[in-house]
Amino acid sequence: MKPCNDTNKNMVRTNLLPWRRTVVWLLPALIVLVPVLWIGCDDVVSQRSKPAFKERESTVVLQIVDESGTMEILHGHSGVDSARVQLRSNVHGTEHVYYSDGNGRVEVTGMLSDRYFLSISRPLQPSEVEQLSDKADENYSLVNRSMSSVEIRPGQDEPIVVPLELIFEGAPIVFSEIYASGPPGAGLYFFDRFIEFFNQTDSTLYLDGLVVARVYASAYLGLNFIDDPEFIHSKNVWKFPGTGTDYPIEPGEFIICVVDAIDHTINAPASFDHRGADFEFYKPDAPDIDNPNVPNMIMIYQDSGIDWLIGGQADALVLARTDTDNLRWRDDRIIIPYDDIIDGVEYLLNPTDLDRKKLNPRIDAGATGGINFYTGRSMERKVSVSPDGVKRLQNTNNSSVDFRINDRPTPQYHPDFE
Amino acid sequence: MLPGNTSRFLPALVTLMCVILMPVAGLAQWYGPAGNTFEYGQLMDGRPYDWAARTGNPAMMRISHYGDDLQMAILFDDQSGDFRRFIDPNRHASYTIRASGSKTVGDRQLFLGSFGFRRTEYHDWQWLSTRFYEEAHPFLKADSTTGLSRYNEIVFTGGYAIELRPGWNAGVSLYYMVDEGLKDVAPKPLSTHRDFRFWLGSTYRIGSVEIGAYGGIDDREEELRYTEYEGAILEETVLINFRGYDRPIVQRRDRETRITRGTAWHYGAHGSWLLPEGLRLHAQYRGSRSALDIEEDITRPRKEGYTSSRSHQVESDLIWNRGGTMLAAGYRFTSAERWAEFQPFDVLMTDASRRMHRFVTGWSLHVTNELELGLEFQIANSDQSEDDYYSDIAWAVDHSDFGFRTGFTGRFNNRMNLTLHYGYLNRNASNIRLEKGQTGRFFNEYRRRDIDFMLSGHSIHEGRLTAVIRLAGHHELHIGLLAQQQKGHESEQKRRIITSSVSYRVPIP
Repeated sequence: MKPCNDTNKNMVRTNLLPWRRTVVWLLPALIVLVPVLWIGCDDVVSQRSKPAFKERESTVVLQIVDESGTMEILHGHSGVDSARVQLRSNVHGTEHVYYSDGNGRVEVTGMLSDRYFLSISRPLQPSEVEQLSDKADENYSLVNRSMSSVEIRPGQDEPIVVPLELIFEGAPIVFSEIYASGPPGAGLYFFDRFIEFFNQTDSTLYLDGLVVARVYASAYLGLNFIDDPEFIHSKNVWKFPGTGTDYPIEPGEFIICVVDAIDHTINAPASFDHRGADFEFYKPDAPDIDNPNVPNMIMIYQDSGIDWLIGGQADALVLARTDTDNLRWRDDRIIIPYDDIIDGVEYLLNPTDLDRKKLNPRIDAGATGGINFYTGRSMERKVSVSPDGVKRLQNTNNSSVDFRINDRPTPQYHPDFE
Repeated sequence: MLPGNTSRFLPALVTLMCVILMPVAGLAQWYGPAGNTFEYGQLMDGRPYDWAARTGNPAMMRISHYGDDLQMAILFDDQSGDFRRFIDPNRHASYTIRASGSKTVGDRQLFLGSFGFRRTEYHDWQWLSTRFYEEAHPFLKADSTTGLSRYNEIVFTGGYAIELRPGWNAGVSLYYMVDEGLKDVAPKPLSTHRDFRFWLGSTYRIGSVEIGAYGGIDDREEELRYTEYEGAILEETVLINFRGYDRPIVQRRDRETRITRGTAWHYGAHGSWLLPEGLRLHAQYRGSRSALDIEEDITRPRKEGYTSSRSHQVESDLIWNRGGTMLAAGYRFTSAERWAEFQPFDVLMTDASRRMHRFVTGWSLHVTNELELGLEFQIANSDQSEDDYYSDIAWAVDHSDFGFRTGFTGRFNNRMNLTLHYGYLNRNASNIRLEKGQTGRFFNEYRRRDIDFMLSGHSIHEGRLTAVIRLAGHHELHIGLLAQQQKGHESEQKRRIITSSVSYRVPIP
């Protein structure tokens, strides 16, 4: 029996040997190969599960509440009724306008997912202001300063609470248009830039002594003063000439300040004839062009450049009434208190990228822009019409919704005011 | 008995392991016109029906191998015409040079390898240099310029198969491709693309039954770059980002980068039974899963989209071959589905599915030793649908196909084989549904054409010539020419395809 068993074992061993060899060869090969390949495929894309919500299936409720207590006094609850809610998507180039119901609720349905710029305004009627202060005034509004954007997407079950603050909307003069990109088809020519101002009030105002400043930040040096609680910082400050009543701006009038008040169409056919401009930025310490027929802006401080210079694709500008005889400095920068600022506008190459802002949201909660160099486009404030039919330029302190892009600038006029 | 059983089933277990360990590559053709892909066509090229090659299992390389050789081939492909989608170029041309070789070592091992260079030109193509424009849909990107795009591509392939034991084969195959694409007109976007594929498979024969399984992985990456092009500093670059058929997002940017990464898993199993009376039954299953991850902006990366695809294919063929006559019948079922997610908000953008049933029959007859005739028919029925939630568009269509191919192969003086084919295929569309909701103004300008294309029927006429010239020393010269014309039923637009190849084959003794 024993030899017989040995024979069987030998047969078994003989049968197994090739298998063992194979397994001995194959298993280490697999053990080595699989991790090597796994690592070699440096970014194996994970298999994600199918999303539970379909695009456009969103129903989002915005609850508009007044944090100033005004509505509580007037109506006995904090919900803001009849508020105009404007949602704008810079990605999709769409705008949606809603009005809140009696409880301050707005239901938004079927919108494309995006982070929308939000502009909410509820002007107080003079009679409402009178109830609060015994004086009828129409320049008070409830606006959303602290929350300038909202994410709209499917799957949001909870209402989004948007707080409003009471502001005095009395910016009498506003930036109405900024043209900084330069004309098309003229090489690197950009001396036809201009900024335009508009008198929002019913009274004659005076530009004398008002300051135009460019907000300073340096990505190269890592400097950004957006979070400064009191001041904007600037290395480019100019002021209007005059001693008090020399340069009036009539109600509804547009005035422009240009880099060079010459006929630019000679150098750039797609540009403008600025000889009729209201003011010219003339830099006396540089070989700058001066049109003697156009009043010059007065340079207070500009650390570089041969002419007044603003960013062609991104920048932030403010208009302020500040005491230029007693300017305050911090290092090599002039600082201007927020309280002195009349209006401010920021523009960015990518206006959705608010992380790159340099102007405090208290002055401008958003940004306009999205214009490349040498495209001849400008940024212009939109017109809003009050319930009683009065046209004004929209000023909710949020350039994301207040401004639009013009393919062709409109110096000294606004097409919607025709 | 136990050792005997082990020795019988261990190969099957190892075969199964290949599937478990390496669960990818060819996604179902979603949008292209149905071609004349006749299943038994290879018979007419002078080779028997090549089931082994159809499986895609690298372990079958030894079975489908027809002798060691070295080959040098030149291929030319040219397509042009208006019967196309928006995302297709008006004209497409490619030139390929490829060197390949195979060598058997001993009786059991086979090595294969190839090296190829291909230049591809897309004329009047509004799209960027992406190779993912099928799979990355709807997250596609275009720019405002239409011009010539060129790609230079290098491809390496390698394969190894071994007979581990009589009847038990294993094999691996590798594929590596890199290319660089450049659009000739400003802003001259540049793309780089890399594909890597690894497949592993095994087969085992038990009596008259041969079973096999395989798995594979694809790893792919592509980078598109827009940089501020000096020569076009005065021109504005308009980029168009699609997230659906409609409502493209127009961006005016000089610089943009898009990185697409893809992974795909392939797996399959097959069996072949040799039955009495010259009958053979084949059956196979093929499956794949793939995912694509799309990011934008290399300096501040942000997720753009994610697409996921799955496909399943089942095939079976019954072939009778005796005395110079072959009769075959086959059934194919294809099912594929895919969806796309907009990652920043975790929402479903599109949902698409497609199913297809196809029946094929083939007949061939050796009239004499010098002349073989062949005839094939196919009928197919498919349904396809897509919901584009982003664009608020839904479409669906059923297609029914009928096609045939006929031809002959003649042998002349043992010096030359000449094959001539003619094929015809007709596709009719029915149950067409196109629902549009809150569509935007671009719908009529861009991808509307893609939907119209898919909802239309068409016909294809195809002629093919293949010549094999035998030279001294068993050297062979292969010449191939294929001419195809596609024509849309509704639009009556046409597209012409010419493919030609010349290869020189030197057998290795």
